[in-house]
Amino acid sequence: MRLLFIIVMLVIWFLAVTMIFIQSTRKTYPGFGAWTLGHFVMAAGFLLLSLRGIIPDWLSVLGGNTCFPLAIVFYLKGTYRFLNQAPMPLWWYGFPLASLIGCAYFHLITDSLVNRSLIIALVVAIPNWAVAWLIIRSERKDPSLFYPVVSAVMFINGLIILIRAVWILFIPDFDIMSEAPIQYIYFISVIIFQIACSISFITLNSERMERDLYASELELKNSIDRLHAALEEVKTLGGLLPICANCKKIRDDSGYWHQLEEYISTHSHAEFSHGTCPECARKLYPELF
Amino acid sequence: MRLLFIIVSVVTVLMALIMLFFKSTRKTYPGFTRWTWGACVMAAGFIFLILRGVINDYISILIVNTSFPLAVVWYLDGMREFLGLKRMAVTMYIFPLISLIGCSVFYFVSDNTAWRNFIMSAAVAVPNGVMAYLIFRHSPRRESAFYPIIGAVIFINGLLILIRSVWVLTLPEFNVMSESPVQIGYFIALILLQIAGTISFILLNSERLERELEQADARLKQTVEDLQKALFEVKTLGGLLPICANCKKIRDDSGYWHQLEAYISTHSHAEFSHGTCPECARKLYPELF
Repeated sequence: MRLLFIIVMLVIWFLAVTMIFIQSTRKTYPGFGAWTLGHFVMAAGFLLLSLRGIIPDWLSVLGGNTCFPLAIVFYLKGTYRFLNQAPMPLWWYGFPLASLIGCAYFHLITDSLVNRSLIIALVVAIPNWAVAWLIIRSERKDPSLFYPVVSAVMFINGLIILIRAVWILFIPDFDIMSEAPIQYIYFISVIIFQIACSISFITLNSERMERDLYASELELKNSIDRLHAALEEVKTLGGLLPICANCKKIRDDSGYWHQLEEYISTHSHAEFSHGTCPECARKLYPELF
Repeated sequence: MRLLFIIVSVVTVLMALIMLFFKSTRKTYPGFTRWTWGACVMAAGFIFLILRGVINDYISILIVNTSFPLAVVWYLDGMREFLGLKRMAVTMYIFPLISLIGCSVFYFVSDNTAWRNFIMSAAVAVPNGVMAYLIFRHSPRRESAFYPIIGAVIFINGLLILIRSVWVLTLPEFNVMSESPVQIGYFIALILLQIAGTISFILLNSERLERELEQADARLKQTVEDLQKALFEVKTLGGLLPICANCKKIRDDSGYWHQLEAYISTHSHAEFSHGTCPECARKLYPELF
């Protein structure tokens, strides 16, 4: 059994290191940090669990049983942030606290593994389901199975620990190191769902990036369209305009001669106000000077 | 030992499912499909490995020893496609073929597990090494540790299996099911490397996505700037232009009177070619009519 614990622990440590690797080398969105932190807390919990019998029992029991719900609450915190929801209400931290107090009671005062399992299962399952709920409820434009499947992973993640806790109720003299089949099934499922869970977080991050990419491409297209439209509205006066040297009429492309003012006004935003320039005024109205 | 085999197999099957899920719901780049098929072949290999003893030995042995190198060769092919290199030469399929032939010889002619293991390992390690080399050689970005680490993971993957097979050759008697610490360590490492492999493929894909996103954003910024500049450069003729009703001179903002042609040419893209309109021609040169 210890071998299995060690494998679970190594897998989770490995996933935690992977999360750190991604966070330090890749673009990640808000919330990813809390997920990474959750992985480390989870890994620490499994470390304490696999040291059962080697370190003092109370440390392994209380440490492990606080770490697991705390890790899931961190997952929840990350999910709240990632999905741009309001910040996670602080009372969620009551779950690891309740687990600590409950397990302290059922370890130090009356030693009952079964009750401890039930408490830990509840405080782990509920935040997991909250994560699943947030994901399935989140606004999404992706019609694929992506979100439902990721949400289902989180839901099952919570469900398996609860199933195990209930199952254990029916096993007399259950011990954490016992080799009951449920233990194997459970811990192998833990491996599977931990991997699935990490990859879900990684994929959620990359799905967001994908959406950003599409949004950016769409925005690019829109800006180009908008600016093209703006350019088109600007009337530009260009080309070689044949002008009459004497009367200043302008000939258009179809050969008609237009009054200068009329032509320029049609082909640009300029309007004309007529007056007389001083030179012409002197010529035309010499009596005024 | 069977427990470890089961965990490795379950993890590998999970990895194949994750690859399939990712491929069907997310944006993937060329090469990802090959990786997915590789992961499926790998999973099939592990399924036949745990069926050892349940089905005919030779079926299990030959399929396992062919599918592992075939999977890695497909990973390699996918990597070439992903990195934009030309497709893998068909000669690379020699590796699964050699493994099949070699393992047939060391099963039907002289039954020797250690040599079978060595041949298969070499056929897996070489394509792995090539793949790691391609990543080092052709990685698009060198500043972060991302590509080197992915390359290292793939390299270690190949190295590990080779080291183990050499170790196995030195053993007087070897059984795949033997519970030595090296075996246990090796299979735990294999579990982690399987996970690492899949996550690497997903991350490579999402790194590409990230790069495209950055490019799209940069292009968006550039285009908007270019177009704004273009819009600014368009000389627009606008406002109310005071014009002399007689000589058609135009007064600018500072009060100077400009020759019409000069003013328009400076403030727009229009140039003038002087001529005489028919009316003025008749007036000015009546002798011509």
